[in-house]
Amino acid sequence: MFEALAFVIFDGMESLLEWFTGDPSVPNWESTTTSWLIAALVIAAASTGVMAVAKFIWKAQAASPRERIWTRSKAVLFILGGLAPVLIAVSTTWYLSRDFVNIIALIGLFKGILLGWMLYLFFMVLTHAWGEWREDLF
Amino acid sequence: MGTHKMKFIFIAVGGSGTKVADALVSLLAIGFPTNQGKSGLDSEGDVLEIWRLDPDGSSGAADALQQSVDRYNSLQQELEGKWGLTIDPEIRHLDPLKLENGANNKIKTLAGILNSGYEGVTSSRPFLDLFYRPKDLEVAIDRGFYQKPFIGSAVMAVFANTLKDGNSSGGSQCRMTYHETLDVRFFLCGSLHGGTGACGVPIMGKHLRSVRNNMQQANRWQIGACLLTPYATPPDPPFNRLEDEKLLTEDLITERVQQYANTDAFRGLSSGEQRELAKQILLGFYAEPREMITRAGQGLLYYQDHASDSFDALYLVGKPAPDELTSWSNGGKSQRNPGNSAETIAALAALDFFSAKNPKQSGYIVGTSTPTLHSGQIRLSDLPHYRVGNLDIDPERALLAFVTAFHCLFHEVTWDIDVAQWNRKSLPALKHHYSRDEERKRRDLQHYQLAGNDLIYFVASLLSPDRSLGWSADMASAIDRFMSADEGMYGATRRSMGKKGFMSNGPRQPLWLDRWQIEVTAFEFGTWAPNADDFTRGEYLRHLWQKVYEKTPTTRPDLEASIMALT
Repeated sequence: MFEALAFVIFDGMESLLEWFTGDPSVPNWESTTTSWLIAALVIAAASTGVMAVAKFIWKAQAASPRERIWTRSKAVLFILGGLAPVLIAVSTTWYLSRDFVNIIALIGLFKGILLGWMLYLFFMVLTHAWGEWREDLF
Repeated sequence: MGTHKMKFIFIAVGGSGTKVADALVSLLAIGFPTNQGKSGLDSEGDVLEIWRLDPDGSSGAADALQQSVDRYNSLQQELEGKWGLTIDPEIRHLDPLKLENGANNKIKTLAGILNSGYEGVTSSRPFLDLFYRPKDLEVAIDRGFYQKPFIGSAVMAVFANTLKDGNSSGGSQCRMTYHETLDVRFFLCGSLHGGTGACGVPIMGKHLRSVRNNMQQANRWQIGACLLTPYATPPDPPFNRLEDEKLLTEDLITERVQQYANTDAFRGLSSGEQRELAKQILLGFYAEPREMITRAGQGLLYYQDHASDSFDALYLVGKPAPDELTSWSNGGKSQRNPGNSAETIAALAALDFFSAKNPKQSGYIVGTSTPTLHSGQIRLSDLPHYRVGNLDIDPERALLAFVTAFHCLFHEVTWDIDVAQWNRKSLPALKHHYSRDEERKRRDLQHYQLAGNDLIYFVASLLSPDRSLGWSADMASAIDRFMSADEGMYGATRRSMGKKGFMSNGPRQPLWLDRWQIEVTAFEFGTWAPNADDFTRGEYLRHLWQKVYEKTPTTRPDLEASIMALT
């Protein structure tokens, strides 16, 4: 029973990895794809960190309570503004690695960007889930 | 420890006294404190009653005072109380021409009063003819005593006698028996140079003193007074009085009425009133500007010799160079002179007497005198301090606290944004207070806005150049920087209250009105709220006032140098 479950998960993981890969016929493609996904994750987390620090400084510089209040639309626009650096960072990372260009390919790049964005949005929503930032979004 | 809550009775004698009462209501409306409550300086719990001793029942000043009292009570309602003391909405008119007790004094002249049959006196005419000229006895006095205390004092003396009877018109208004059971501070205010004030203040003071002397607990009452020396001079009347040797004829009156019917003084009067006014002018029954100083001097001598011992404290307010009024009136509805800085100073004298722990003082207390004083252009820093308990209150600081609280309430609270979005670190107190109750916030804003209109009215009545004389012009513009609805004006204050930067929590600029400056940021204001689970709108505003007032002020550096140079 346990072995069967492990097989299903492993099989599912492999299918997922394959979805992000442009050319799965290349030997050892799983390692490259895993690196590609880790890169997307790191870029999303780093972008979230940079955007959070930027927001913290922006808010700390507010001269009055009025300036410190962010409307929902302002907060959403700010979060969406972080998508651009994710796009640039993921594309640059893809372009700088021959393995990524050859194995992940263009289709894998688009899917990686999508993943980076999703992770970034998830992290950003997470940072707004409590504390005073919660008032900006919810 | 809170001070003992008191009942204050302000007795406005004549037109000037009525206008000082108006200024007093304005000062109280904008938060000037009269006691030390549990949470700090306050005026809640005290009660003010205003009596108006004046034969002129329809004076413009009386109407204005009633409007102010009504507005004050509406303000208190909008703020759910707990902002200022309670002012009795009924201004008790003590009409010295209403005698009763067997009197038949429908004829409102000196002869009419003194021959009224009051207390069975059949006629005093033989004696009157010895002291008064016929024209003094026959002139209508239902608009005042025309700067002639020798007419008024006789009437006032008869009236003071009626006050002993609780059923008389005056006695039923004063309710002396009731007040004998209370701790009361009486404050009388009137002019030294006028008719009603000059005779009414000493006679009423003596009456109160005699009642107090017969009380079992005489120390329950304190009696103070403020005497106003000339601080504003009216223009000359539309035409000259008759020279002494000339006879007054009906034809002459008709001629003058026809000639001057369209002037401000006569417009709006009935034909009979116009004739009476023409007669008064021709006979010289009006306030003569050139005689004011002499009359004030005579009044002071009288107080020194006969009346000063009636009072526990006697304040003197006036101006070396009186301001000039532009319109002439001889009393009645048309007499609506602008306010004056001297009236505000007299109102501060009343506050000092009402609020001091021990108001008793010997000798005259002169209102104000600072090295930079210019009596025609009084600055807020020139205003005399007053006492609350043992504390010294600087009116400029009190006003700065008020305008800052006003600014914060209307321009720093983010009323236009949903409470759910208010920043919990920037406006924690109010955010908690409304805790997502948007409806309550909306309702409070509406009430605050109505209260705000009243507050603007009261500040304007004290300091606005078009409603009050004798202030330095830049005082009103200094107030506008806080209270204007125009962002172009209050924007400067908003910027000043802004945090200096990322690393500094201090404000960008200090706030000031005149001499003092304080430092307060919008973020600091956001943390202020009364220490209670729930609080009224008045409590919140009072708390803001207290927090700002507690700030230690410093002298504006640019002024410090000039003050040092002068001293």
